[in-house]
Amino acid sequence: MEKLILKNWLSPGDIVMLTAAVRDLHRAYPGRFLTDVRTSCPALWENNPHLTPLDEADPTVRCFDTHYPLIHQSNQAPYHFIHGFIEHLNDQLNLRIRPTEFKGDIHLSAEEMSRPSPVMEATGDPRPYWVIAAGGKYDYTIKWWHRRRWQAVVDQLQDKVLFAQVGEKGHYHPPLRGVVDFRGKTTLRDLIRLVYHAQGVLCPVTLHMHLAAAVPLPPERLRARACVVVAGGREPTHWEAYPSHQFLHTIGALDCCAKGGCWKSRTVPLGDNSPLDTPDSLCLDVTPGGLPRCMEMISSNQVVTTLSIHLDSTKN
Amino acid sequence: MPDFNLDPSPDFLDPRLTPEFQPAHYPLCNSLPAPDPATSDRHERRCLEFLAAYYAVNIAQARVAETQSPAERAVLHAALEALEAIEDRYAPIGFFGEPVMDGLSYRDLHFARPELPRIYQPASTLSSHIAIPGLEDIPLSELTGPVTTTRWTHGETHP
Repeated sequence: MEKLILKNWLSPGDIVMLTAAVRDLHRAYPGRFLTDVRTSCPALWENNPHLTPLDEADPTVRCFDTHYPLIHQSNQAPYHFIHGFIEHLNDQLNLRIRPTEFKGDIHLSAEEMSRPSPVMEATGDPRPYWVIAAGGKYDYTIKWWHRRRWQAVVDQLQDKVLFAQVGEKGHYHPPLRGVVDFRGKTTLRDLIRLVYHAQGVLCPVTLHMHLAAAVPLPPERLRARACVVVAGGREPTHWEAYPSHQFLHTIGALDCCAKGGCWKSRTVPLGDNSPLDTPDSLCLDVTPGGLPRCMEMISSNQVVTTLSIHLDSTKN
Repeated sequence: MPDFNLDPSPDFLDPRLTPEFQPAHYPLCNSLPAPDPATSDRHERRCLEFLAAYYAVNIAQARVAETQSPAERAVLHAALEALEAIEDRYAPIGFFGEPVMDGLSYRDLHFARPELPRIYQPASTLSSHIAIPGLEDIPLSELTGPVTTTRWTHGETHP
């Protein structure tokens, strides 16, 4: 058996994609590899059946930094993010792994699945709910939609949808009115459990959309978990979107994302000396309201209409 | 591209420097007294702008509660609009004050001072968690007694 320790210190959304690669490595080569990981998010690997404890000091273990250079072809080549780590493993290890499922590979324990939802635990409210992430990290601020627009969506759906707002403490997640507030209150495992029980997820391009696909469905659910992604024009649609998601984008609708994602980082400089503040990392078309034009083009009404498609279907 | 002025206005007047200042309506800043009015720190000056806006709302709210007059309601409405305008102005950089309320009054504002974004997360000391095959086949009713968690990192186990 070949022993591999796969390393990656990127953000949680990236690590969700790595879980898919590990799953598909074992499906392509059953019994050939023992794998372990060193990543920024151990919680995403809990209960994962494909991991075996390995020691980096063991001379028979190969340690391997994982990347997804395929992203540099993402505007031209027809690949999804899920191919990223897989193709890198194929190139580096001379393998022929193929994606076997269109989602990451998150596992819950029986105890996690049997517990009531975090919303139920926190509020006693048994109603179905959607997870909403109305913000993000300070690195790629260009992904943010305006707080008033998130609020307008919540307000317009207040009689139909219970929202659970999530967001990591220290990131930009302005409070919304009329939601159950989980900002800064969840561990990554709590978030996974929150998504597990959620009828749907509403978010920008971020971890939560990957979790919406990767977290398994409760046994009684027939249809894929809904997810509405307010995406704009930063990422190529085919690179990020999942089949059952509603991915609201503007690729092809603006000069700055005429044939693909712009991959810019920030709307305006934050003044924090980050390389992401450099002119070539900044949005080329900012509206007077301070939004990237592509995000400005997505209205709260459009999000409401899109989300509403799922309100009947999520009964199942 | 629009010119975004994300520095506090040089014309900003700290209400604490005005003769009619009412300290009881002035919020705390991150649960502490507000920065000095003369601070030159940009983050602190932004905080002072928010504190002043919330202070104006508190004052107006108190007057409405006291008088119920339409004129005071108009003042409150204007104060809320001014607060929203400040929030909108700083939205592109994600700067905002999260209020803590006491009844109808804003008592405290919590501001995030973001760290320099990290492209790479700090290395975890944990490697991963593993499933124990067969464990989930055991009925929950038989899983009794104290729970012991054993973590392993880099090939070593730690109780």
